[in-house]
Parts: sequence; C-alpha cells; structure tokens
Amino acid sequence: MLFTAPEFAAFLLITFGLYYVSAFRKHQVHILVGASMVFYSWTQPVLLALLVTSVLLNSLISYRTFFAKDSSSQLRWAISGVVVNLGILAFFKYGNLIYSLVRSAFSSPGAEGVQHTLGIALPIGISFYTFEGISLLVDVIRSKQGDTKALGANRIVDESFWKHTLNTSLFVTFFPHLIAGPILKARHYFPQIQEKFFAAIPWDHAYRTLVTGFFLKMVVADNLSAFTNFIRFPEYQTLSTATGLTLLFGYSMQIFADFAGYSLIAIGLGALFGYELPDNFNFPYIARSLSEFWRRWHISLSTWLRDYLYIPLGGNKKGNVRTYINLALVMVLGGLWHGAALSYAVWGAYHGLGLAIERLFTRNPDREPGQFVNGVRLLLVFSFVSFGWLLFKLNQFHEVVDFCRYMASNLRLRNDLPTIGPTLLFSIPVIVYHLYNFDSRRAHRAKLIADGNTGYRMRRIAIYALLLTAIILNDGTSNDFIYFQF
Amino acid sequence: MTSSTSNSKDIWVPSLCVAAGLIFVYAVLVQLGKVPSGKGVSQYQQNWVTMEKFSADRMPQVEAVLCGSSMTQTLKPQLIDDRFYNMGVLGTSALTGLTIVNRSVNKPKVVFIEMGLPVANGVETTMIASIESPYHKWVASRAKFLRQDYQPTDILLAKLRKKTVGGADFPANAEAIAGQVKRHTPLLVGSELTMMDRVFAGLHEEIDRAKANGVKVVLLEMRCSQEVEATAKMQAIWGRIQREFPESEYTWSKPLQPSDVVTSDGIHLVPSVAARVSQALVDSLGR
Repeated sequence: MLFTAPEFAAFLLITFGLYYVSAFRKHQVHILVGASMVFYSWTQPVLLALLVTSVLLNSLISYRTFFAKDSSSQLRWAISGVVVNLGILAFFKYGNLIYSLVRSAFSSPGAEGVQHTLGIALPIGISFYTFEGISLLVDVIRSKQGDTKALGANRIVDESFWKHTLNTSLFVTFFPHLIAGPILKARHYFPQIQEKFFAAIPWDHAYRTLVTGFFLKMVVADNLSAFTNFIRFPEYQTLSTATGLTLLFGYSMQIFADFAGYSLIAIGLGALFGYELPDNFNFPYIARSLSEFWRRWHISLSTWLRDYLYIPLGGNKKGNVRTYINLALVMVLGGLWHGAALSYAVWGAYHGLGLAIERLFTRNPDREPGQFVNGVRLLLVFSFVSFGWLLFKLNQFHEVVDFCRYMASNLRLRNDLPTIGPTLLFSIPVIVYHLYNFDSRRAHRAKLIADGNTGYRMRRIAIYALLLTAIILNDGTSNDFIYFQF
Repeated sequence: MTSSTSNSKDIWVPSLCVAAGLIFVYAVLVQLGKVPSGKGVSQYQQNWVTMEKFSADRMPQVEAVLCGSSMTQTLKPQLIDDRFYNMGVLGTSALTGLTIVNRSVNKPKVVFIEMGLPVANGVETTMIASIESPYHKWVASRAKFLRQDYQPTDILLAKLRKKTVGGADFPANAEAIAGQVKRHTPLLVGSELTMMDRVFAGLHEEIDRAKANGVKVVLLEMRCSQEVEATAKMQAIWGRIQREFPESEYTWSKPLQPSDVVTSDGIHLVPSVAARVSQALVDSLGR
C-alpha cells in the first residue's frame, strides 16, 4: 500500500481509531501488528509468508541467544541468526545475480534467474527487514557480552517467548518504516514498546513532519518524475546536453525528495502512534565533504553499516591500508544492498573511491575553511553525488557510459525548454529547503521559537499552510517510492 | 530534520485552518470559472488532461475528434475551428483516444483515427482505467479544483506557452532522423507484433462500437519522413494496416502525398505542413 494512495487514508483512520480506544489499550501492539500485516500484504499477499517467517526466525533465535547458558552458545545462536538473515536476503534478492554469474562462468548462455524459475517476485522491503533482524541479534548478543553501547538491549527480550515474538513482530513490521525504512535498531525501538495515550501525541511535530514529507513526495518528487523519466534508453539519445544535464540535476532533487519525503512521512506516522523513529536525512546536499554527505544521507543505513560492519571489521583502528580496504568493502556492500546489479556495486565502489581519495588528501575533511572554499566544496560534492545517481537511474552499466557519450556529443541539439523549465521549477523547493536549513540558520530559528517571536510564528503558519495547499492542489502523478525497489 | 515539540507554540491548528481557507477559495474560483484550465505540464499530465476533459466535460460544439498520438497532436484544427477536439495522446496509439471517445458523455459526428507508425505503441490501459474509476469520475465532475488541468503550476506555465497554428519551421534535425531510421531498420520483433495484434483487435472493436453509436469513422493516414518510411519496420507496419483496414471497406483520408511530408525529426510534421493538414481537415468537415 502506498502512503499516497486514497485507500491508505482509510487504513490509517481505522487503525488510529482502534489504537487509541481505551478498551483496546492492552492490545495496542496486536492492533499495530495486524494493521501492518494488512498494509504489507495489500497488493501481494503471498509475500507475507516470507515476512512472517523472517519475524518468527528472528524472534526464536534472539530469544535463544538471550537465554543461552554460556557465551559460546550465545555466539553460536547469534551467528546462525545472522547467517539465516543473510541467506534469505541472498536467495531472494541476489539469487538471480548469483545464478546467472555461476551459469555464465560455466558458459551456459540463456540462463534464467532463480526467481524466474520459481516465479517469485522480489519481496518488498526485504533489505530493510533483514537488516533489522540482524540488528536485533547483534544488539542482544552485545548486551549479553556487556557492551555498554547496547545497554538498552537489556530491555529487548521479554521472559515470555510469546510476548517477545509479539514485540519482535512490531519491531520488524511496524508499517510506517516496514517498506523503506528508516532502518531501526533494536536497542532504540524495543524500550519504546509500551502503552500509548492519545493525550501524549506530539501533534505539532507530527503535522509538520507529515506535511513536509508529503510535500516533498507528492509535489516535488512525483512531478519531477514525469520529466526525469526521459533519462532512459533510448530517449536520452535525443536529449541535448543541457536538457540531459538538467534532467540529471532534477533526478538528484527527485531522489532526495522521494526518499526524504518517505522517511518524514514514516517519522510523522510513527509519532501519531507514539513511536520515535530515527531521522534519516539531515540536508545532505549542503555537505562539504563526502564523509559529511554520508553522515547526512540515509543516516539509518550508514549508521547500520558503521555499527554492524565497519567497526567490527576494525574501522580505522588497524592502520591505513585496512582502513581503505574497510571503506571500500563497506561501500561496495552498501551499494549492493540497494540491488542485485553491477551498477549498484559500481555506485558503491564509486563512493568508496571518492571517500578514500578524500581521506588521502584531506587530513580533516570537516574543518572550517572560508565561505568561498566551502561553497566550491559543496558544489563539488553535489556534482559528484548527482553524477553517481545515474547508476541508480539507468539499469544497465553500459547505458550509463552511453548516456555520457551522448551528453558529450549532443551539444548542438535543440534544448527542450518545456522540459527544462518545469524540471527547474519543481527543483526549487529542494534547493530552498536545503539553503533554509544551514546549521547557522537553524540555530537562529530555534532561538526565535524559544523566544515566542510572533512574526516568525505567523511565517511558519503560512509556510506550512502553503505546503499543505500545494499537496492538495498540485500533486504529481502518483508513483511508487524509488526506495521500494530496494 | 530534527523537530521540537512544544504545545504552547503549536502551529498546526492555525496552519490547517489557513490551508483549508486557501483551498476553499481556490475551489470557489475554479467553480465560478475564474481560473483558466491548463493543458498539463508533463507528457503524462498532458495525456491525462486531454483524455479527462473529453471524458467528463460537456462539449456540445465538438463535431469531430482526432484520435492519435504525438503525430496527431502536431495538428491544430481545433485552433481554427472549435468543432474539432484533438485527442493526440503522446506515446500511444489511436486506440487510447478512441476508447475514451466511445465512453465519453460527448458524441461527435466523426472521428479521425490516426494510422501509421504509432499503431505499434500499444494502448494506455492504466490511464483509461484510472480516468474511468469512480473516484476520478467524481473529481472530474464534482471537484474540478482537484483536477490536473487546474493545478496552479500548470496554469502558471500555460501563460508562457504560445497558442499558434503553423508558426516558423525549425530546421530538421538530421541526427534525430538518422536515429529514427536506425531504430526502424530492423524487422518487427515478437513483442511488437503481439502489441500490434492487441491494438488492431482493439481498434476493430472500438470502431464497430463507434459506428454502432452513429459516429462516422475516418482513418487518417499519417506518414513519417521518406527516410523512415523506407525502413523495413515501417513497410511491415503499413502492410499490416492495409490488410486490416482495406480502402474498399473503410473511409480513408490522405491529406498529404508522401513526397509532401516534411518532418522535424523523421516523425513529427513541421508546423507549416501541420497547418496545411489542419486546414484540409477543417475543409473536409464542411459547414
């Protein structure tokens, strides 16, 4: 079910109503789990079987890990759980790729993928919920081994297996984040599972978050999508260089608006049900270094990779060579997390290489130089990142090369102004959104709010009213969220 | 994107009220006809608007509808004579428009059905189903302000667009023509043949339905540039069209000799030639 679909409004209203009926307060978790199952299975009920299996396995294994008698048994259970999660991911997401690679290695042309053979579609959100399963297992084992960072994990596993299973079900399937994140960490989410009250809903926060999220998705991303669709084979061959580059710029804006919009909607919905989901974006296009970009973009994935992969690999504590290897490995795996295709691996390697070069030439990439240098760095990072999105947009790596070739040779073609104009127009909100949120301005605004400045309050009322009006009057043609495919 | 929650300084209630007020005012202005309708900003939106308008709005003056693709859209008889409605739906075949015409509240006297390269484009079934859905039917008739053609950005951009018949011809794009020739040199492949089977079956069905409704059906020959017409794919397409709709059984309109066709990109007519065709269509309708 899409957040932007009319049926979602009815679904939300019913779930919200039932959730806060005081007679059902003891069953709030049941209501959310049931609603989340309906939400997930709305278009493809068959996929529910895998989600339920994954939840049950993670629940059982984490329970066994927590109550295992000795540390070696705990470790065995935890490792087996991680293997199970990765196995599910590998089979359903990478089966096709692995199968075709093996077949081509043995020179068997015309190989069909495993999924095609079995007739199984890629389960929606599988990358998100398997990573959450791993987070649960790792947080449980870390808490048992006395890791102070995982202290919250002491409250993860309930003594009752049934209750633990119910909580795990909610952790994995809670519908706002189920399909495209933010990726939750068990130690942050489980302690929040308790009775919720209508009076405690942070309405203002939920309103602002939802309005911003829906605006980014429905007005910006969905409208841009109608134009950036021309970045596809063979259409890009007839685009002039200026048109093609404008569309690539527009795609950069669209992918941010689409994914940040989804994350904000998820956070706002979470707030309506009394759950605080982590921020996923922090104005990434004002980053002045690649490392800063990755602290601002898809934060829940980058912190997951840092906590559960980069640091266990040794991070930057085992010498320069190992640091570079770790960086490259984490980025390539991060790229492959997005999809089973060469272009995603190349995208990861592209960013890994960028980070490595940045590290090599900059002692401290985040130190504060002058404004001009900062501006140049911001533009360089933005251009580097935007060019990388081509690997997301075009399915085949050779098409990316082809696109670049045509952009180099189509300099004299007529510019398509009816495409360039609206693309730039619908990109403006993302630019303003970023410029409006430079750190210094945010501090200033926080002070105005704290002081109860009337003029500023009126301005905020007007801005959010205009955003909401635009959502109702100027939504684009409804599209799937880009990150659903991951 | 961190947010603070503060009950005393909440903005959500006044903001909601202001938004409701703005939307109400806009809805009233649209209902009173004070807001002009646009044509759609993107290709998808343009198609939607073209189809939804004809599907939902009463147009008693319309006597002739042109059903086709972007090739048909380059023609502008509707700007010369308001008895025409141009149902040129980009990236699809004439079947899309004809389906909408047959289900519309408007019943024209004649439909011109584009014949040529776009018969291999298929049909926009998803968009037809959406436009025909109860929700969109309700929006189209009862809540016009929510329609795509009343979107503020569309109206803003529409003011910048020129409405002209003909206009200055721009030089033909040799690279684009070469690209089209290259694209249509190979023979039709399996998926294209299947698509064409579906389009022809649909066209026969919808043409019969139109005739049963008392609508005169005229097949409009739309040729590409001579280079593209000479390709194997185009010749196969025309061979199939002539077998499906022989001149002995169907009324054909051929406003241009193949040698008179001048295109900007191998497919779409340049404005001056499109204007000649438009005038010919207007003349064919008579007074």
